[in-house]
Amino acid sequence: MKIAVPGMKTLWIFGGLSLMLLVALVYLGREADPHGRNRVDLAVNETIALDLALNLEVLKLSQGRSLNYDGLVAIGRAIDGSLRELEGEFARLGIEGELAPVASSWAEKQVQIERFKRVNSIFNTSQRHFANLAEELTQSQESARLAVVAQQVMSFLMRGGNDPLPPLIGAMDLLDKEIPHWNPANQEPGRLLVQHGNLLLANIRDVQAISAAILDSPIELQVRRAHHRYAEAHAAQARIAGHYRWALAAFALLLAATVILVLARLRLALSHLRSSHAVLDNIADNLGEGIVAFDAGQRLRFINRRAEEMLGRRSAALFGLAPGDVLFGGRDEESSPPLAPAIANRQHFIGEARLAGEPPLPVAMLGAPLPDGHGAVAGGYVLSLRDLSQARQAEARLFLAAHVFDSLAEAMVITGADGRIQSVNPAFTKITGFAENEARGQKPGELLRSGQHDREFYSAMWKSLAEQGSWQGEVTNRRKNGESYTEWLSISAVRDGDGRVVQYVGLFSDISERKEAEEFIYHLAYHDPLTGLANRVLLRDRLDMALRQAQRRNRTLAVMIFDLDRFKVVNDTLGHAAGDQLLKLVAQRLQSMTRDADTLARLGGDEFALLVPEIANALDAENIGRKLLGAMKPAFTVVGRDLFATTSIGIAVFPQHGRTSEDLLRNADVALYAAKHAGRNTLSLFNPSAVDGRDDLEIETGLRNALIRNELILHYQPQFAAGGNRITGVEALVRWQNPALGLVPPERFIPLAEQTGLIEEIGEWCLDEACRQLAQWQADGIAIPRVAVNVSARQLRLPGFTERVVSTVRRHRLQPHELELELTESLLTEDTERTFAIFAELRREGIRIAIDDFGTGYSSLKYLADLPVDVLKIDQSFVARLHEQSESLYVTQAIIMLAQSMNIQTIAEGVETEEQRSQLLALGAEEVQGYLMAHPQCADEVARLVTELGGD
Amino acid sequence: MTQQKDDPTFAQVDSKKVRRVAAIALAALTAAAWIAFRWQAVPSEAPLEERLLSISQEAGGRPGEPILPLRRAEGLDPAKVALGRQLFRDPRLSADDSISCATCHPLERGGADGLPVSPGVGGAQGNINAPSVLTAAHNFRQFWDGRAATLEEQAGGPITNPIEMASTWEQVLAKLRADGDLARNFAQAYPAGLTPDTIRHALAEFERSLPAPSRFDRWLLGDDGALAINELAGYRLFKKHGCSGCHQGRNVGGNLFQRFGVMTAYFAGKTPSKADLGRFNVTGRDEDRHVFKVPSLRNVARTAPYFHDASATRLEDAVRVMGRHQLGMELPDSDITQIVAFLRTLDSESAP
Repeated sequence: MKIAVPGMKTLWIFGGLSLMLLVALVYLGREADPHGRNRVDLAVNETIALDLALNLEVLKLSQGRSLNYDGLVAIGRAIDGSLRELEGEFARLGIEGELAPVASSWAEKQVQIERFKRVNSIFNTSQRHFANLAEELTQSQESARLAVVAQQVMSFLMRGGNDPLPPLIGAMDLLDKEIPHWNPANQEPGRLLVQHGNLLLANIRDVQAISAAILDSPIELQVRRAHHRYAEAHAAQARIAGHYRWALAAFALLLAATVILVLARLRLALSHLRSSHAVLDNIADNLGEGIVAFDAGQRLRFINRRAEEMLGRRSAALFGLAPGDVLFGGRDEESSPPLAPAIANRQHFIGEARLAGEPPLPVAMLGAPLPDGHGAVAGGYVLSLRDLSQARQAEARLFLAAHVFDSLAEAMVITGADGRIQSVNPAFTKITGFAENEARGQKPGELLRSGQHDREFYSAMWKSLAEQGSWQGEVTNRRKNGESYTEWLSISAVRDGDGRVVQYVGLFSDISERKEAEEFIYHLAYHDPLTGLANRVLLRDRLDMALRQAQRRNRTLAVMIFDLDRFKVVNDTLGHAAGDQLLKLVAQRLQSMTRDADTLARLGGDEFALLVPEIANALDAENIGRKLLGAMKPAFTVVGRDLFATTSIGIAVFPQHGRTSEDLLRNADVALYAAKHAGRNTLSLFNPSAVDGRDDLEIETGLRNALIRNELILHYQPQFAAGGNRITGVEALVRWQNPALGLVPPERFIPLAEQTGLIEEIGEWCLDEACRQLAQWQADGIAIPRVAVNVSARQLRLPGFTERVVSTVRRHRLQPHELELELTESLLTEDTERTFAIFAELRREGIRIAIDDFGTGYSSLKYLADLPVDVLKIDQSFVARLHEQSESLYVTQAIIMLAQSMNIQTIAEGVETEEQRSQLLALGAEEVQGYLMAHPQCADEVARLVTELGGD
Repeated sequence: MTQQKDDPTFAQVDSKKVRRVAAIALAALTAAAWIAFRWQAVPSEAPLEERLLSISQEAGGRPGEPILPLRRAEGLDPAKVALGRQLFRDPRLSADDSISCATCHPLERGGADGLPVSPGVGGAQGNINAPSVLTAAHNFRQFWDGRAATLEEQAGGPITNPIEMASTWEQVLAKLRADGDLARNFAQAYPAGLTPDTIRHALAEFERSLPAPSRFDRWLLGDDGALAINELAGYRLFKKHGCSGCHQGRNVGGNLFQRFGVMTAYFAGKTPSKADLGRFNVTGRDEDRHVFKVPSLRNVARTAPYFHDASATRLEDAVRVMGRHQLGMELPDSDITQIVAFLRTLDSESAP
């Protein structure tokens, strides 16, 4: 937008002329000085009054009523003053000429006055002398004429000298002629008298004339005339001034109107300018590029918002600064090519720089000199700054993406919207066996199809992709070599700006190994790794199932438990390996003896169990037992030796010997003890009357008092980092020292405590004591990071358990993570959701959760992924058999791998040899616990151990 | 621009503001114009009566006496008087720094040097007897011939007179301005600082401060014991013989011109000098030939020699000459003695 603005020069000329005209009009239009008029009136009156006074004074002097001329002088001076004032005032109106008659009259009058003074003083003196002499001579009576003449002269003077003079002059002559005849002594005075008389007569007319001239002076008239002239001139001037004032007013109004007009236009222009500025500023502020402009003096005059952001400073702090200070914060400029010379030489600039700021901002800079002209930045320099950091980041991201794409362990496949492969990464090739050139252009579904998924599977997948833009799931595909594998595949649709799918990105990893591990662990959970037989858990499952069926169908079933007689001898003489070998052979032989419906399980050690779901009666069971006993008779060849392994069998029958699996198993166990008692290689049917309840009762009674009598103590078994001697924690193990029963092992009293509910109190005590002890150690400066405390299922599920644990921790001023609660794996199978909820609560408080005996009992691995625990304790049964290339090794490895994938810590229990320890270390176990490092021991011994280790 | 004008909001906002500004401006202008046209000065009454009264009342003293009492000057600026006093004694006013005002008018000797004529710069000789400065302030004009109307006019005269101080104003100003203290004092007393006018004024102001009353003034103001019998008799003779016809007023003379030789010609048989022509030198009128300003008789006893030509060295002689030529009589010695006794009472009582 252009606005016609007059040049500065024109404005100055216009303004100057207006001002001059205004001043001129003000000058011309000023009121003819009213004070001047006033002063003139006054001075005129004064002059006239003074003139009158002067005349009066002259009269007084001439009549002898005044004897000095001071008054005359003073009045003359006053008239001088008045006339001078009048002259001044008249000169103001340029009519001083009007006073000329007055001035000349006054000058003439002054001359007359001087003349008057002179003559008057002589006249008066002569009069005085004449009178003196006349009196003197009259007294001498020298002449009669003298008296007459003197009398005539005196009366003449008294009358004002208006009488005719000649008679008096004649008389004086006669008197003069008489004198020589007088007494000589009187002749001199006589002559003097005549002289004075003549003088008086000669001067009287002079005095009269001078007085008359003074009194007749036309000064008053002339002053009045001049005054009249002055009034006329004054009025004329006032009239003219009035005209000028009108002109002044008109001109002022014109100027005011002009000013208003100019103001209005200026406002309009300003608004336009402002709005266009606002538009420009708005544009400039919303540019993606920063813009800074410097004036000719290289001071910042403009900066847009983007540039402010880029520089990280407010414009207020930047205005007026030099380019180097603005862009580089006064440090050395980081610019290529150098910027300063370009600005100094007013050249165009293209380059890159790093602006001041944290971190320095890379920018592309374009610079151009601004043309000379009007405005703040005329002759200055403008720079545009483009933020390169995003470009740099994008580059870096692309590089990273490419790198990731290439080095990703997971396979990545990118297809077009038509589903045909555009590119694959090396991991894809590694997993599928197809090189990129083989894969490109193919559809993944066709290339890798294993035929294991039906059409619905794929349509569901495409539906999800279309609706949600992604899909993930497990897919079984086929490698190039025909091998099938399981992958975890996630597919994302890549859409363009219009929402159209342009690409699909598939990301998958080969999870066949993990699948296998899972399956194995599943197997493991239900089977005994050594013999492949069902384990206790599976036995329980099957027993429960069989019991439900038996109850429903009103059938009878039998549970047999048997162990090898003197198996310990085999172990001790031939070694564990031989023992295991024997167990396997026994298992095989027993397996061969059973029917499909039966379940043969190894319960641990040399203890086996057989569930026979369908028998007619107890006798039937006894027959089966005997067959088994018979089957065991032939020798087993182990390590080139024939070994004979007889067994004892205890049998419990449903429903006579119990209605629950627990009862049946326990009673079968009791029957087994009875069989062994009766002599080996025999079987025994459960006999309820033979139950030895005395021990249990005794133990239970003792246990009730144990807490009161302080018979419980905690021993602590240190846990170590797998790779060294660093103690990572201790596990608290409860011991009961009873005066009558001696040292009762936990496995003897803990199940009883659980049955009777005493476990709650014992558990509380253990928790409190362990915490107290850890706090004590810490207070003593013993560095033990944490204590693990065993918690039973029953204890865990007590209401308010979490709160009690937390308050216990707080009471002893421990950190929550310094306490670890160990729970048996079997816990996870019962009331899983509630258990997990409690675990979650505890972990929220910071308490660590460890699963004890892991690998022995967990029934459902579907929870494995979201197991809310911190530590898995690998069961010592696995550790014990790490020495051989056994399944234990594989299991341990699988557990560790699983734990690692779930970010769970692992600790191996029961480490007894250096070999086991190094193997566990190699497998990735983080911590170890066992006799190799330390037995469970009392608190003082632990403290001593820590001190010793710490001293190393 | 047209586009923007069509914008209703824009136009509204703008015209509203402009209209308000215009209204205020016009109101202010109207008010100013009205005031300008209505404005009239109110004339103030000047005290004419008072001024006339002050002139007539300056006299006082004993009624019917031709001589009026002298009073100390009032309303003078002490600073200016002091500057005048300083300048009065300052020889820098002369060309060669040899003489000051006080050289010819020593205040301690009646304000005149007692010489027939005064020596000027470079041995020049004056052509007329130096009159006293002591009551010069009360003379109606200055110089024997009355050529200066005011003291200021007189004060400059001798400075540039070649046979007196023989200086120029340039010289005088240059010398005086070089005197820092003086220049500073002048600048304090006079806004204009050191100029011929201010120098003249200061000198005049100083002279105005000089007149001091005499014993006779005390008598005039009613102190009957102020005069001895013979002095009073002298005064009566002074009046009787007609001396007071001319020597009257406050300054006992000094307020009129008179011919020297009223009854008998004084200059008869002499070759009159230019100075002898007196007032004629000023007016050129024949009637003013040998006419001189009647000198003041105050301090007359201290200002011998007498007359413009210093022809009388004793006061008695002067009185005798006056009787002979102005009154046409030979005054008896006894009268002269008494008149002189009276004249001595006209000396100022306090030193200036």
